[in-house]
Amino acid sequence: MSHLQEEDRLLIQEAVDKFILDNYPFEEKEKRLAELGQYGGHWGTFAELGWLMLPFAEEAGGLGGGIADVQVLLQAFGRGLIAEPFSEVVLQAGKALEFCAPESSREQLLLPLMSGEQRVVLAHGEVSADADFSAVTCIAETCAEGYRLTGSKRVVCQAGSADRYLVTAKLNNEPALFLVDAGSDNLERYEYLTIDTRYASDLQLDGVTVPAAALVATGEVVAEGVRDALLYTFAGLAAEVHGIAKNLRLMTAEYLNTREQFGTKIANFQALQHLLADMVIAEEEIASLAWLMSNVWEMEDSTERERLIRSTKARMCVAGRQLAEIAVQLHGGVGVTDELIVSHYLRRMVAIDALYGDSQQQLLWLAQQV
Amino acid sequence: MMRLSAEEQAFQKQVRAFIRDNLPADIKYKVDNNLLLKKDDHVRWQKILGDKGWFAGGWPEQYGGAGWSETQQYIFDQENALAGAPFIIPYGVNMVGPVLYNFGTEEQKEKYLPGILSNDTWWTQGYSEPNAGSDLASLKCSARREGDEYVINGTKMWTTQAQYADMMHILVRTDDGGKKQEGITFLVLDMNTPGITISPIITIDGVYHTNQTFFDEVRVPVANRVGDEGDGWKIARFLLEHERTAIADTGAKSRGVAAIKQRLQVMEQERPGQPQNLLFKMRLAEIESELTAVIALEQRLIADWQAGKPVGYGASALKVRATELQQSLSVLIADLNGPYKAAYEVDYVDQGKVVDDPTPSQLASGGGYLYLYGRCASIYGGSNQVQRNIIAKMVLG
Ligand SMILES: Cc1cc2nc3c(=O)[nH]c(=O)nc-3n(C[C@H](O)[C@H](O)[C@H](O)COP(=O)(O)OP(=O)(O)OC[C@H]3O[C@@H](n4cnc5c(N)ncnc54)[C@H](O)[C@@H]3O)c2cc1C
Repeated sequence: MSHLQEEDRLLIQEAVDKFILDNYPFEEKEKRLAELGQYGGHWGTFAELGWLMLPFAEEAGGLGGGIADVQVLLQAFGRGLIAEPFSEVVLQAGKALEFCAPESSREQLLLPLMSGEQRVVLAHGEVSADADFSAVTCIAETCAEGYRLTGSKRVVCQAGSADRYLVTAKLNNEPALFLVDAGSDNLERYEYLTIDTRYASDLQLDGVTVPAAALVATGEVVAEGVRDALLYTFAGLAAEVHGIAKNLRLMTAEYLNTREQFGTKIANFQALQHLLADMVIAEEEIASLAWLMSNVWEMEDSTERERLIRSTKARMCVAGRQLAEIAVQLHGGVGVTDELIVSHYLRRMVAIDALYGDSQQQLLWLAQQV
Repeated sequence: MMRLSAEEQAFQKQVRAFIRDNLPADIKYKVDNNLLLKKDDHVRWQKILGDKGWFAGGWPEQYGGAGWSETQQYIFDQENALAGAPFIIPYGVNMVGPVLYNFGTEEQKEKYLPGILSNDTWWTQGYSEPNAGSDLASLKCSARREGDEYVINGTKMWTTQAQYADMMHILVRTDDGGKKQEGITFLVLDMNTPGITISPIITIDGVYHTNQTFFDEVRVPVANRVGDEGDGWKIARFLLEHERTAIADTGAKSRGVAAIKQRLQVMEQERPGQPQNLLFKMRLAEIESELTAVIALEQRLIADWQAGKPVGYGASALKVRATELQQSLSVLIADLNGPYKAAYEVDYVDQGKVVDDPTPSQLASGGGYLYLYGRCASIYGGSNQVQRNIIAKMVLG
């Protein structure tokens, strides 16, 4: 649901459209990739435009936007293939902080994130990187300085751009959440490219010591808060998938109406019309799922909410990938070039699917509820 | 099922043993890990086969081949792929070679066949153009006759491995009037001829396979024409038919299935009884059953070929199913990587250096490469839509 005034939402829409137009020509992707590596990017602009504060409660210093408001941004980010770590920092880590931290420290923890001064990413995934806490094996022990953390975290998206990691661990066998400086001793980071030409890292914590104040929270609230932050992220990402789907459909329809083979527009081949129709059907599904997700957070029944969100994650990723594969196919050879954005949309779809439980894992979770 | 004679079985054993003993470990590493192979890898392996007399085994003996039957060729291709040896690059040996010994002059055979056999001459295929893809017959790259030369102007798109090539076989337009198929001529040309420029195309997988090649007043001797002026379409049809069966490449798929089985066994040992493991096993079983059908189709076609029977739409059916299967197999391989499905270390894929202890993200990158590059398979070699058109046309008339 939108928690903002209609005109504020329109302002966000205008701002993000302008941002993409001014700053994100697809052709400059190589240059941006290099910048992402060193980190710089457009984070300052994101902060200035208030986007980093958008989904946080006003009591915590945020703008109090709802998922529908975040979706305005994410849909545009999908279309523009915006590689800034918005969903990593603001949704995954920011929401986890908001959901987990006690009220007394919430605002203070969120302020540097919302101002853009500090980037925090969630380091939660391990061998099976689902949203659930049960797979966490990273251990925290008390020590003279505070706590000592040992374990490994895998496929931490955009970790290279972070000042701090929000690390999940078990403390006395209880879920616990720590803020760890990226430059800490005994912390090794192995960075690699991801299929959507962004970066992720594996983190190895070999007895990283942190002060007592680094403990954000402990107990069941952490398990639930981290899970909810990821569910919230999935709900937002439905809009990103929708943005991708819509643009792919528009581009493909235009291509069919332009490209000629056998002396006619290829749009005249019924086989291709039907494939385009399949794309439209998938896009309709995805648009509906994004719409469903826009007010899923207001649901009272959190079990039902989780079911809906995981169903959505599974379905939007399957339908989205199929749609993107058709788009590539209908573009023929140019569809499989690096130069055309079409192939990059497909690659982004794969990365979204892989995030914290791919469609098969989500389906498995659903099946286990039966 | 294809029944092998005693000689064929003996041959199969011989091939298997030879490949096991002679395939360089660094090349096998790349194939096993689904990494990009470079020219040097292909040349090294093809030369090893050549020394044994098994490169171009399907060529007639008089041209330096081993005179293999279709079945022997099939046995060889299967064993080669199953063992983790590189796919044989077809542009020389399977495409222009048979064209030359079927349609070429004695001088042409003498001049070009030895280089193909020895792998000292590398070939590329210049047929498609920016506006002539599925509708290949509409190609425009022109060759104007001037005395003893053709002068070529225009461009060829998707010239795979042109960056490596010494020679190109090319379809050019020598006549603008009449039926478009009739004005096409088949030439071979030296890639060092002045006026040729190659512009790389990076594909969806982030690596460099293919190119656009430009021709600006490129002079080629008329002696480089294969067949008569206007024979190009007929020759291309002959050649593309050869390409269509090789495209099934079922040996590689069987190897993929075997590799997945091994992985699932490891997963089962490491984390026994996980429901996830059973889901993957089911998906593998589904792919195996599809592969069984594809292999059966392939073997049936080969038997028909060998018996001299027309194969009709079977070749198109094979192309469609084999490429669809390749794609679903690659999705499964990628999915097995769990969260690492997102990892794609393109430098590791591209350089393919042997790494003793690859990271999980490196191990996963081969799956990403298979998936991404696999998207091309339903587009090249006659797109899967075009194959279905062929089938429907044959059935409906
Ligand atoms: C990686 C790669 C390597 C290649 N290597 C070579 C090479 O070495 N040498 C070479 O000459 N070529 C090569 N090709 C070119 C390849 O053969 C063409 O890409 C292919 O023929 C399709 O042509 P196109 O790309 O122009 O697509 P188009 O023909 O424009 O097709 C666009 C879409 O329209 C569909 N379509 C077209 N016509 C019809 C129809 N009548 N009915 C229904 N659907 C239709 C197609 O299926 C496709 O989905 C390569 C291509 C790729 C991608």
